[in-house]
Amino acid sequence: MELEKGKISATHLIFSIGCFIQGSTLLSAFVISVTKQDTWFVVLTGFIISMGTIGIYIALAKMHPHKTIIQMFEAIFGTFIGKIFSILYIFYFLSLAGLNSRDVGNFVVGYIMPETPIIALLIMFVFICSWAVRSGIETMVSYSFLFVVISYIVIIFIFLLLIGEMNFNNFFPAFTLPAIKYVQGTHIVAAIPFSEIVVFLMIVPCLDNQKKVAESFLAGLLIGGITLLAVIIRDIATLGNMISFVTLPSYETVKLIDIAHIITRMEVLYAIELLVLQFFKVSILYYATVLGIAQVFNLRSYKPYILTVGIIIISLSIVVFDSPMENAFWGSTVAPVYSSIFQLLFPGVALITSLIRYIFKGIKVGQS
Amino acid sequence: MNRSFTIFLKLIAVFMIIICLTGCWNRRELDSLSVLVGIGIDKTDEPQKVNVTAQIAIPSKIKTSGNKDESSSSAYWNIQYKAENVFTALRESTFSASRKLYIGQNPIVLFGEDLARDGVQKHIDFFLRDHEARLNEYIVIAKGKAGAILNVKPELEKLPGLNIEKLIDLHYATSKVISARLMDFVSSLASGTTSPVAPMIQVDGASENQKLSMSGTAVFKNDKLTGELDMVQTRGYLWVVDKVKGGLINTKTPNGVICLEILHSKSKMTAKKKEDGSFVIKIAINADINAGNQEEAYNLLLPENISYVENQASDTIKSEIKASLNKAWELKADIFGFGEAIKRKDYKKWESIKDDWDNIFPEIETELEVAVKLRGTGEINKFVQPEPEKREKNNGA
Repeated sequence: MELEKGKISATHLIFSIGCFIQGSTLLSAFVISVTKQDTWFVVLTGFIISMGTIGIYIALAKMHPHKTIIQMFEAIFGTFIGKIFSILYIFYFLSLAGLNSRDVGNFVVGYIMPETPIIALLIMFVFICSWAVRSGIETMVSYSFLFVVISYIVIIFIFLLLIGEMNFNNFFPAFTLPAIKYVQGTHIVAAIPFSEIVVFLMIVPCLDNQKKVAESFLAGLLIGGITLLAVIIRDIATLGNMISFVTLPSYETVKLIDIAHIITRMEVLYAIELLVLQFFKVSILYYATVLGIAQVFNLRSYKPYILTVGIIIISLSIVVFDSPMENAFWGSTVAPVYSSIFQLLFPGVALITSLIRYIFKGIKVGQS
Repeated sequence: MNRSFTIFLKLIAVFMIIICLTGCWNRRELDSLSVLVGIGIDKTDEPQKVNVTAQIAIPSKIKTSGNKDESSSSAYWNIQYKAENVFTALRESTFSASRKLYIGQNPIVLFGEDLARDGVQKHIDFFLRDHEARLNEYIVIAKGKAGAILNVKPELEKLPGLNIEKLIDLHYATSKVISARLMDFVSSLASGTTSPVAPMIQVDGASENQKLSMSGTAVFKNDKLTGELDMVQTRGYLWVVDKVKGGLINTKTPNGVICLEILHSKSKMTAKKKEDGSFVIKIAINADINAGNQEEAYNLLLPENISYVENQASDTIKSEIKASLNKAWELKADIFGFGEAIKRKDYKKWESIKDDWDNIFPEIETELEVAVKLRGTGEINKFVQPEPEKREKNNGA
């Protein structure tokens, strides 16, 4: 059964993963509210920890080549239990798509157009995403390189404009918070931007050269990780102790750009970057949901479900939170635990089970 | 579904999106906005109310060309409203202003002196929270009423608000005026120990020839105005926090007074821990100066004279810093961020002393290290006078 006939190259996968992680970097307030001026450290530890979880994904992909995570579960646990896991994953991808669309809506309504109904924005945003999903994976990922380049250019540009505002005393005193905060922060960083790339296990089967999975995942993680670190360092150095008060640190940072009252009001750069990256991220999650549904129910094509899922995403993103405060609370407390189930627990169980089956029963689960 | 029908559906979708994108709910055109160029906030007789003066620019009158009659009328309109808080007052101004106020371009927020003594934080909150307001508005404290300051019509600029902004932007010319952005002010408030500071402005002259002038620095304790620094103390403060960008130093030499211009300076403040556990704040300043004006002949080409002038200048700088330190100690207001320096140095110790910081701060030891370098004598290298041998000849004749 070939649902997706598109083929993507390793380069495209690298930039897609990088772009996907970058989508979260702009909304870094979740972790900054926990670890304040030491967030840069948490980003590094989170990066190292998530290399472990990504190791699990790579091992799974190597043991089950040409299979999406949905098909893997059916191969490992049998049809019935496998389908239960698959449905849970579909829900996970769907909820992430909803949450990320909501982030876009919150941003536009909160900062740019406060009187616009959020549904008007979400319908347009998700509509464009659904168009991207309809065009297939090949089309979607071919934009990733462009988006990564755009966001790097924007980040470097903002960095240069803000050099005068930065004060590196803002990083001190370092390491003064209780140790548990660092654990929490590391967990948030590992769970929210980095390990969300579990969704790429839905896309790996399209990779033309299956031997390059490991390099692609790690290189993509590096692209995203560097961006996150640069953005966090810039925001801390610029905002200082204000960083734990503002709702969107990166946005306030960009607002501070003022060179001789001429080069100023650059926040539109941030808005463009945010919309472009979130578009990419939601499209990937959307695609994974639709493809997952088609695979679980053994359908011949996923295209008829695009609009339906799109409507579910819109409704979900409207009902999921009453307010951005609820969103922020969820993001820094519940989300890491919720995500860990899908990012670490289930893939871990799947990996161990398939190893056991491989060793004891000698069942051939694939060659790598 | 045939091909042309698909294309037709796609076209409909595209047009639907285009139609949605043309107009958004928050469309704001210049003809429906009144752009704020200054906000003044004053205390009123009623305890729970503030008097807000909003200065609105009138774009059609800002044009420089045009006939003479138009230029005589002012290009701004000050609208005053009394309400429970700033936000309410700005909103309720729509009772008499036909356009909604737009705060995104507002350069300054003026607080009246009386209001500042009662605390400004509850009035600042709105400027941080509003999505249009920016963190780089200037905070200014008015001597007297803020509304009166905004009424003084400037000579060089069309709008009083922008005039005040430019006065503050020029702080580098003397370094006797500070600039305090909302961001700096709030950042000090958030630190808990650093006292916020803001420039003060006053009206000079009688009713016909009124002009505005910057005058010293307002010092806050938490969010309440407690005292002020004069111009000399202000520069002392700026030396410590590394914000001196220019200015003049008048120094006595054996032959008359010499006026030196500060080219640039760099200062570094660090906390050092002594053996007995107390802290010393070390302030190291490097300044480059240039000879700007000489009243009598004093040869600046001789090395011993150069070092004499440099020492004199560094003494002046030290005395300015001491003046500001003494004033801050007297007010018990840590305007310099010594507390933050100690916090960076030794966080554990800081945690134990921070509650008592108000009492420790006035007793804290400081170490001043000022190194001044004379970098030039300007376009002439000597005081203009007849050469010495000629002068002797003239005297002899």
